[in-house]
Amino acid sequence: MKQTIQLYVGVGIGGMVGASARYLLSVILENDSVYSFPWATLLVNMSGAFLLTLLGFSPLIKDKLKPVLLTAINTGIIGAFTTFSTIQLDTIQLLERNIYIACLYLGITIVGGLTCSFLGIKAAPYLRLKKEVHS
Amino acid sequence: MNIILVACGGFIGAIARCFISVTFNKHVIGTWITNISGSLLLAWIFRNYLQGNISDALWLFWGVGFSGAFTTFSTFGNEMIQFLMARLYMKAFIYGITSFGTSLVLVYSFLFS
Repeated sequence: MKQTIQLYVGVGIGGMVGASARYLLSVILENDSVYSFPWATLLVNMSGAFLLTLLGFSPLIKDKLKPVLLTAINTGIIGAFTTFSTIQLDTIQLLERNIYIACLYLGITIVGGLTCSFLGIKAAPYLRLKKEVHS
Repeated sequence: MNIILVACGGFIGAIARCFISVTFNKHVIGTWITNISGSLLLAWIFRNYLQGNISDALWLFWGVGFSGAFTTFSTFGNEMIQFLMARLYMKAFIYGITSFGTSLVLVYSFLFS
């Protein structure tokens, strides 16, 4: 029971951090032009896809972090940082203006997201501490 | 103030997503359900926000915070790449098509009905 509460509180706090970071980026990158492209959503989704598999597949992270902390980071922070619902809303809004831009956005998101996830898995074994201290 | 509303929505959204994926015990099903239902929720909130039925604060809390954190792209990408690397191309195709197709159709019909 205590572990379950820890898990959910950790994920919740991670969600606060992830959602806030996503919001901040969207405010910084906000673009009001007619053909504004959802750069902020694209950026959070690509970087989040890379980070999730990077941390999830790293033996070092698994070794050093408690499982509950790793879940708070992966499910909480990165899960809330990336978003799926905004992709759909952005795509439909782009579709209203220009079908090609909408398709382009969708294509970049899907192909780019899969590529980033793949790169994260491949990069994970290289995630090491700079100095391994042996005592 | 805005960021606090988003953060609080994100708190509940991430917990709700975690709860659903734990309940269904299979991550793909959990992600599938949260992504589609969250997209539908966002479309509904957005429509009401445009019509002026929903305040800025509620939009930030439920739209940006909750729906944004409830749905996730990183886990979707991870699950898709797992399928592809295991050469489960049919599963990857069905998962991808139903996730995006269903939510796009639902969001479209919700916004323009």
